Amino acid sequence: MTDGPDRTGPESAHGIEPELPEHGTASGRVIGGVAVDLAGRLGVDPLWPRLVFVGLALFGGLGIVVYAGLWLMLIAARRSGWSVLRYVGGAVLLVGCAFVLSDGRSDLIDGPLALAALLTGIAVALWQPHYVPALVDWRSQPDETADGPPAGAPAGRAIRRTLDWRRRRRPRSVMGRAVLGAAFLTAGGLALIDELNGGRLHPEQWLGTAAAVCGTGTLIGAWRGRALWLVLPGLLFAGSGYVAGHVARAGVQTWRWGDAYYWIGADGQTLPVQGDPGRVIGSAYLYIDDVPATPRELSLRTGIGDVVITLDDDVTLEVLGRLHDGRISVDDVDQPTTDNRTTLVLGPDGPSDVTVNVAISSGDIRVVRTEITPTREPRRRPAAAPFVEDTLSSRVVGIGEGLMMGSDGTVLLPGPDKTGPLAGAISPTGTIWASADSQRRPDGVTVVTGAATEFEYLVLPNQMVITPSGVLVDVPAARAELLDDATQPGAVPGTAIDGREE
Amino acid sequence: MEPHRFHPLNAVVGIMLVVVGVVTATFDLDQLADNRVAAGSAAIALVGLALLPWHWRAQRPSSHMDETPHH
Repeated sequence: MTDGPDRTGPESAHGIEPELPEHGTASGRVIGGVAVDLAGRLGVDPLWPRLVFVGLALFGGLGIVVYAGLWLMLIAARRSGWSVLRYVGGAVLLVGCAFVLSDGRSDLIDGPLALAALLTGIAVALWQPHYVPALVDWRSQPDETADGPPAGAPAGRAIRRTLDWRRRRRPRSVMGRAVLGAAFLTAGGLALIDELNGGRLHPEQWLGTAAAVCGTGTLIGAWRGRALWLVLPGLLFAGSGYVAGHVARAGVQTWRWGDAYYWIGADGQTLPVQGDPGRVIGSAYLYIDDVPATPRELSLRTGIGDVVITLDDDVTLEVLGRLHDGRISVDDVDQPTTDNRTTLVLGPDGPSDVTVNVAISSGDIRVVRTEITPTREPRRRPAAAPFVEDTLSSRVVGIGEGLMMGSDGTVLLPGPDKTGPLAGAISPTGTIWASADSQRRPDGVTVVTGAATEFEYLVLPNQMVITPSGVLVDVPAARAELLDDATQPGAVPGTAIDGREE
Repeated sequence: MEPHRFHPLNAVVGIMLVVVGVVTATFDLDQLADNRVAAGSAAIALVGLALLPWHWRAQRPSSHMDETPHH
């Protein structure tokens, strides 16, 4: 046995009493020695308790609380001789865990910083030297009498080695672990740099570099240390970097996998109003079998996979696609893209019934048009706006804030350039004609967007309009006043709610 | 970390892994991954190469260098 304090835990399978180290890295201690102590008691490699602590730390810092409580119970109490510290440690464990686990404080910490912390923690866990000199020493001294391990067997990690010491032909080198730790540190460090610089690096870069570090270690292993197993973490680094890069490029915010199927019809849809949450790997299939009651704008995202849209030819579809590595096709005919972006408008002329924003990093967009036989009379799209065909010059009056109204009650919403194209129009029946960028929000408010950014009208469900300058115009009141006095055309004052008179 | 005799398999696998890492970091893995069958086969081949020594080691007797004291 080596010098050191007596072990306080249970005996190992061979009946030996491995010592619990007290100080410094020579004993395998990294912070407080809790992992080494636990490993000695459990007869496992200290690496595993360390990894458990690192993993638990991501759940609201639970691992830190557990470590602190165990340190008081196992380490501080033994060193100081104060048994009361065991109770204090137990209280810290109970109260601390209850506090962390309550009210969702144990939510998984995510984001690049958490990833950097995780990788750094794993690197530290792997970095420790594990008594290799001691292992060589006691292996080189055959013990003729003992059934168990020879004298001099070190504690902690050495216990497991003790169990199979007869089978090992040569000591394991620290080179592989050191290289893997360096790879984790490299990935963690580059992830941190990525975070601090606002995402200038891609996951391919920092995880690919970690894979190259593993490759370098394997190459060095041709002369020293072997560590051929580094090929596995190396491939995992490269593969995860490849996937994570595509996920980041597509803007996928979730970690969902697999295919998804959605449907849009006249009476509803299975796609969430805010669009599909996206997926890491998998395809999205969207079926549009009828003109929806109100225009829809949706998003579909996938890191690696396809988006397939099956479309009734009565539906006007606009596809705004962003593809990094893939192609877009309509009925198996490839469509052109510009700077990896494409805009497709399919179906009858007029405003879009469905607008789909598609973001794919590696995959294709396929649109298949088909004649879907309706189970009932299909709803017809609204006819073209009447003001387009009318001679407007003598039929339009201003109702304030630049808004104009035709003699039939149609309200015209001018664009940013008063003499340029209109941003949209509202019919007396409530039908809204607007650009493709406009959308209807879940609360019933339609956002009519002009050509310029930050230029938008809000059309409330009761047809009141909030102009881009923030003035509320009571369109129904103006319309009633205009139609009541139809024989005397002229400007109708707008109702400026903010107190200003037009 | 004692030096040992040169292991060419380590060198080959190491160089291949370095290439994979560099290709990943330079965003060129897309071109390889476009043919997913080829990419998967390459990964399996790399792992298979790395596993070969375990098979050899199980079959051959202990070398002089790796000799373990017997009791």
